[in-house]
Amino acid sequence: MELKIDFIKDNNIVIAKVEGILDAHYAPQFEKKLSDYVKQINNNLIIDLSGVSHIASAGFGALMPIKNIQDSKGKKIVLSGLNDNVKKIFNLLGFSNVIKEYKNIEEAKSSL
Amino acid sequence: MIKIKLNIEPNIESLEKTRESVNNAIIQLVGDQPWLYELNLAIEEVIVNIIDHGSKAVTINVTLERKNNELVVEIIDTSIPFDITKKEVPDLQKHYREYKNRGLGVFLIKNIADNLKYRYENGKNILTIIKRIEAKC
Repeated sequence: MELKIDFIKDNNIVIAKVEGILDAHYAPQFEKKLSDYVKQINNNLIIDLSGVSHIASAGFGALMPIKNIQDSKGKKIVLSGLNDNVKKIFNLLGFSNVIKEYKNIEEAKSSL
Repeated sequence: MIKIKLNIEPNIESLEKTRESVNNAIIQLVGDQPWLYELNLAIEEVIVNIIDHGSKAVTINVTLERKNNELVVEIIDTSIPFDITKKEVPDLQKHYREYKNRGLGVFLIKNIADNLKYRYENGKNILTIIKRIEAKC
């Protein structure tokens, strides 16, 4: 399985559509690709995870440097499309206090 | 009592295959439990810890066995002695405020296991994760 990230600009928002799995193998690539891109922009960001079937601690951890970049620019970062299993881990880690998550891209867009 | 033993390839490139083997073994022993995904993740986190801290020559085995109303998982490795039960669980909210991204795996392992035990025997780390089996409705 390959990790794929498509970046879509939608007015003032950037949507990063991720496909694959975010475990200890793929999380470093995910973090690098996303942070390299996010450093270049000055937009609110939606990371759409509807194409991600599994996220381990390394995947959640990889979101922290991205949030750091966004916070330092005063821009928002939100997630969308978490499957039920991923959401269980998201809740267990208390991640809702860090990054908000929405059911889908549309809901995430209206929050920004 | 059936006991399933899995030989785990000690590299992160094989995690997908490991998850599949562990998933199949759990289903075979106790069926589709509500905590199936979480337990598989906790086992994956332990394996990643072993790979991160051990040498390339390390061997990792996972044995799974149903004992009455519990599923007993033993993760056995030949890496340097390491007792994860003694590892402090970080204050995650403080961690997040400081943008730290380490320690989440230990938090997950400790929170997902109903009981976690460690022993070092004959040059091997043996970590036991116990999960209570939910009664079928």
